[in-house]
Amino acid sequence: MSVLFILAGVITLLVLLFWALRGPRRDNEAGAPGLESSEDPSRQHATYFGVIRQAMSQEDFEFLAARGPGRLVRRAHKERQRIAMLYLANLRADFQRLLRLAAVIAVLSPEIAASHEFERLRLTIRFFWRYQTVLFGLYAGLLLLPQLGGLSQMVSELAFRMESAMKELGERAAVAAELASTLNRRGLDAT
Amino acid sequence: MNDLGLFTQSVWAVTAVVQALLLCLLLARKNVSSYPAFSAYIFMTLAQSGLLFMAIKGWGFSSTVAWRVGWATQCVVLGARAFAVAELCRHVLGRFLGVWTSARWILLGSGTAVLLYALIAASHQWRLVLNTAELGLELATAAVIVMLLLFARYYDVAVDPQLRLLALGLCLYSCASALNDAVLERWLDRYVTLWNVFGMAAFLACLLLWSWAFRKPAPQTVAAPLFSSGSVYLNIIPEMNSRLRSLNEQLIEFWRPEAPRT
Repeated sequence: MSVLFILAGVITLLVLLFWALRGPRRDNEAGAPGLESSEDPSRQHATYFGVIRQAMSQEDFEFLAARGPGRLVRRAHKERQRIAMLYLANLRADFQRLLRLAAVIAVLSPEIAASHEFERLRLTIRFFWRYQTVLFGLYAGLLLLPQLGGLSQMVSELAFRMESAMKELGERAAVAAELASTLNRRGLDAT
Repeated sequence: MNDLGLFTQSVWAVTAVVQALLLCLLLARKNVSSYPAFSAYIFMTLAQSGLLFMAIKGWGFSSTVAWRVGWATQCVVLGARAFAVAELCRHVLGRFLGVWTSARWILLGSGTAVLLYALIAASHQWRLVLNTAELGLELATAAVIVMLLLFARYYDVAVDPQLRLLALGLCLYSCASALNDAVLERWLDRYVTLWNVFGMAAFLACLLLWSWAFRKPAPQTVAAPLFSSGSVYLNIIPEMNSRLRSLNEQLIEFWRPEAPRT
């Protein structure tokens, strides 16, 4: 029995090792997390929710159900499901990008609070667990657009806040570089 | 020496040659200054091979002297490997002050937890006390390396290929040694030769992996990142966590068909 425990431990470690070593999400020269994650949030999928909602309005669907043949209604429903799933997948991608931004902030911070980091880890695990559940729900035929809208708005707000943070970091870096440059010009040792 | 069998002796000889070559490679590529603990570890494994060879040749493979020399040198080698792993951790995360401060305690904690798990799971037997201790340390080493790589992945820190291969070799060898201690030693104790050859083959494979990793000099030390003010973190992260929490609540709403439409 004890050997089985050890064997289970070794197998778990090996699985985690290869998962952790699986192609890096991003490589750069400095080894620091990529800053390209701070791309223009206006291009994030969450901002397209208005268009998606318009294309999937309940009124249109009801109109189609009242006037159109059953086959067309079923096809329209399937298409709506497909679009919702694609949209949800893209939202997840946006969410991941935002989490990377949070990682940048944590990594570039001289001190971090373990409680905040654990909290984010916990929330991330819960988000992705629930995301899978929602995805399953959509596969099963559920399609709740208003809730998707709430999710979308949340991600957009988060993107905006992160962009402000990155701008602030950039400004600080520029000030620090300017200060170092001034000191060098005056022949002072900045260290 | 004949107790060992020709095949084991051959593997041992090849391993010693590769060890010496790796050490030369570390010196020639000036990697010793970047990886002093790892270089010391390789040196000690080579010294261990030499001492064991002399002990076995002088007193025989099954002698008490050879057994004592084997375990005494193994303790030193395990200590050196622990330092090599600590060096690896510092290379990967050491530059990022905030993350490093928390990570090192978590790494130490996870290593200790796995060590205790292994010692408990190995159901203590006095006959195998040294094996059990070694098994625990091997599993703890592997756990620390895995946690380190998970940390790097979570924080999106790129790990240099040289360090990845170093980590992979150290972790795989620790896992192989733990399996060796747990399975072969306990279940197949009649097959001493198999046990020896498996251990040596795993180590030889890791030596080849490390030789490949160190065929080039270590990359230039990267300057420490320009840290932001601590207030940036303290202001943004709690708010972000709060939004993530709300986002999770939104996901729960997906399962409430009667939810009000906004």
